[in-house]
Amino acid sequence: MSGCTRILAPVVATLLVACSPEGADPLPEPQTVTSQAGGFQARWQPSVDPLPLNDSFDATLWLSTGANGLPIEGARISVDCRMPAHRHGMLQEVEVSDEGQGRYRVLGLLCHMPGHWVLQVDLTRGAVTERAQFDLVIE
Amino acid sequence: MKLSQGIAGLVVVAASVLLLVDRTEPMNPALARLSPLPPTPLDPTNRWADDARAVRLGHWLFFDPRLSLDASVSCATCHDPALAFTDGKPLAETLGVGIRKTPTILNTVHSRWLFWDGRADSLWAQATEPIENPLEMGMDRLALAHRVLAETDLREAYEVLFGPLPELHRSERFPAHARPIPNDPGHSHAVAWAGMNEQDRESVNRFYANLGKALAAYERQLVRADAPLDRYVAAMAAGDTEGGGHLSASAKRGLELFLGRGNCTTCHSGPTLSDLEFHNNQVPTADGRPPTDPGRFEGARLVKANPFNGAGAYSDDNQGPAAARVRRLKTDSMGWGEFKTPSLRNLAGRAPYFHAGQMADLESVLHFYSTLEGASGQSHHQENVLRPLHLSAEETADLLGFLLSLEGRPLDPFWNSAPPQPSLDRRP
Ligand code: HEC
Ligand code: HEC
Ligand SMILES: [Cu+2]
Repeated sequence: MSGCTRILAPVVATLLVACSPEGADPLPEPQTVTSQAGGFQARWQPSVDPLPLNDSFDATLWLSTGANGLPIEGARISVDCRMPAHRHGMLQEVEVSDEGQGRYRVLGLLCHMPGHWVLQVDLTRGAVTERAQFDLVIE
Repeated sequence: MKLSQGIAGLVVVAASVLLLVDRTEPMNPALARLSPLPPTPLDPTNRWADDARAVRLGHWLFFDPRLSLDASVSCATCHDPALAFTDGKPLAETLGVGIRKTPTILNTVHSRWLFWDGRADSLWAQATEPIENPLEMGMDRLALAHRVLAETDLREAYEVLFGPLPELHRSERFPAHARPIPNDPGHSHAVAWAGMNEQDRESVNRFYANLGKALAAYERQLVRADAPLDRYVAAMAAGDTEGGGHLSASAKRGLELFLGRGNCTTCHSGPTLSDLEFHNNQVPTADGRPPTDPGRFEGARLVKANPFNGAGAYSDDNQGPAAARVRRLKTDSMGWGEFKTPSLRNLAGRAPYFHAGQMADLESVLHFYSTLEGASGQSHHQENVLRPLHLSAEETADLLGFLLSLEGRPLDPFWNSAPPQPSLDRRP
C-alpha cells in the first residue's frame, strides 16, 4: 500500500504540474524584505525560475513605505548584485524603468559565477539613501 | 467504469516501470552544464554570417597575405591551423612583437567578448583590428581598399557579395593611406583620415566592416565539439553510469576535482568551459616585475567606444541584444588586470598558456593553480577567488587527464588551408 502511494504520488504530482495553466513554468513567489533602516519595503520577483547562471534575466520590483505600505512612486533607485565572498559585483549595469504605482522593471541582471549573491536596492529620498537587500543563490 | 479502471491500472504499471528504469541519480548540474556544446549561435549583427559566399571569401582572406602592408603576413601566419590556430609563441610576433599570446580561433564563435581583454564584441569587429595593428599586419583601411580594387580576384569576390567599392579612383577624396588612430591624432594616417569627408569615411568603414564580416563567416566554421567529455556526459544522461567508458579512471577523478575541490567551474563553467568573462588570476609576469597590462579595465572602455561594436552604425542589429550588452557594460576599475577566461576545449595544440604565454605547458599551469607560486599580487578591490590547491602528483595527473579529454573531433581539413578561389561565383 505505502509502496503504491510512493509510486503514485510523483505520477499525480507530474500530472498536476503538466496540467497547470498554459503549461508555463510558474514564476517564483515574490519575496519581501524591509530596508536595513526600516524606512521602506521592497518586494521582488525575477522573470525566471530558477535564476540562471551567467545569463541575463529581468525582474519586477515593488517599493512601498515601511509605515503604511503606500507605494513609492517615481523613486530614485539603484540596483546591483554583488558576490560578497569574491568581492565583486555584476559586470553590467541594470536598466530600471518606472512602471508607476511603485512598480519598477529591472532589465539586465546577470550573475556570472555560481554561489551566493546579494541583490541590493538603494533608494534615495532627499539626503538619505537606504538599502534593502535580497540573498540569491546561483547554482 | 471497467475501461477507466483498466486505464488507471495501465498508468500505474507504466509509471512504476518508468520509476524502476529511472533509478539513476540526477546528474550534477555543474557537469550537465559543461556539455554538449550548443549549435553555433546566430549573429544578427552580421547579415552575412551564414552566407556561403561570405564564408568562401572569408576563408580565402584568412590565408591571404595581401591583407598586410608588405603582403608578408596573413591571419594564418599567427593563427596556424597546424597549431590549433595559434603560433606556438609566448607573444605574437610578425612585423613587431606584441604584448599578448595568440589565442586559438577554434570555438571562438561561442564567445561573448573577443581578445584577452574583450575589446571587441563580435568576430567581425575583432577581425578589423589585426589588419591595422602596426605590430601585426601593418595595413590601413584605405590602402586595403585600394588593394582590393587593384586585385581583380579580390574585387570580383567582394563586389558580387557587398556591391561596388567606394569611389576610390577619386584620389582627392580617398588618400592612399588613412585610418583613425584615436591615441595618436598627429600620425600621418590619422591626419589623412580626419581630412576625409564624413560620408567617404563611412563608405570606407562599411567596406572594412564587410571584410570583417566575411572573415567572421569563415571563423564560424572553426568549431571542434564532440570531445570524449561530451560522449561521457551523453552516455551518463542516457543512464549509463559508466559514461560509456569515454573517460579513463584517472580523467574521471580529474573531472571530480575540476567540479569539486579544484573549484575550477567557479570560472570555467558552461559548455565552452569558460564563463566568457574576465578574472585576475595574478599570473606571474615573464620578468617577475609587477604587471602593467590593464586587461579588461582598458578592454571594457575600448569596446564601448568601438565604432564596430554591436550598437554601432555598422552592426546589422544595432537595437538588439548585442547592443544592450555593450551599452550596459560597466567600465569600473574592478577590471584592472583581468583577462578572459579561456575556453578549455582543444587545449592540446595551443601551448604556451595564459595571456602572455607565461606557462610553457599544462603541467606548469596546474603547478601554478596548485601553489600560486609567483602570483603577481592583488589590490584590495579586486576579486578574490583562487587559493593554492596543494595538488598531489596523482591529482595533477588526474586533472591533466581530464583536460586532455576536451579535444573535439578534428576539423574537416577543407578549412585548414586556402580554398581554390575567393569566390563561389567564379569557377577555377
Ligand atoms: C601577429 C600575429 C597575429 C595576426 C597576423 C593575427 N592575429 Fe589574431 N590574434 C593575435 C593575438 C596576439 C591576439 C590576442 C590579442 C589581445 O588579446 O590583445 C589575437 C586575437 C584574435 C582573436 C580573438 C580570440 C579570442 O579568443 O578572443 C581572433 C578571433 C583573431 N585573433 C582572428 C584573427 C584574424 C581574423 C586575423 C586576420 C585578419 C588575425 N587574427 C591576425 C595574433 C594575430
Ligand atoms: C578565478 C577564476 C578561475 C578559476 C577558479 C580557474 N581558472 Fe583557469 N583561467 C582563468 C583565467 C582568467 C585564465 C586566463 C588567465 C590569464 O591568462 O591571465 C585561465 C587560464 C587557464 C588555463 C590556460 C588556458 C589558456 O588557453 O591559456 C587552463 C588550462 C586553466 N585555466 C585551467 C584551470 C583549472 C584546471 C582550474 C581549477 C584547478 C582553473 N583553471 C581555475 C580563470 C579561472
Ligand atoms: Cu564571484
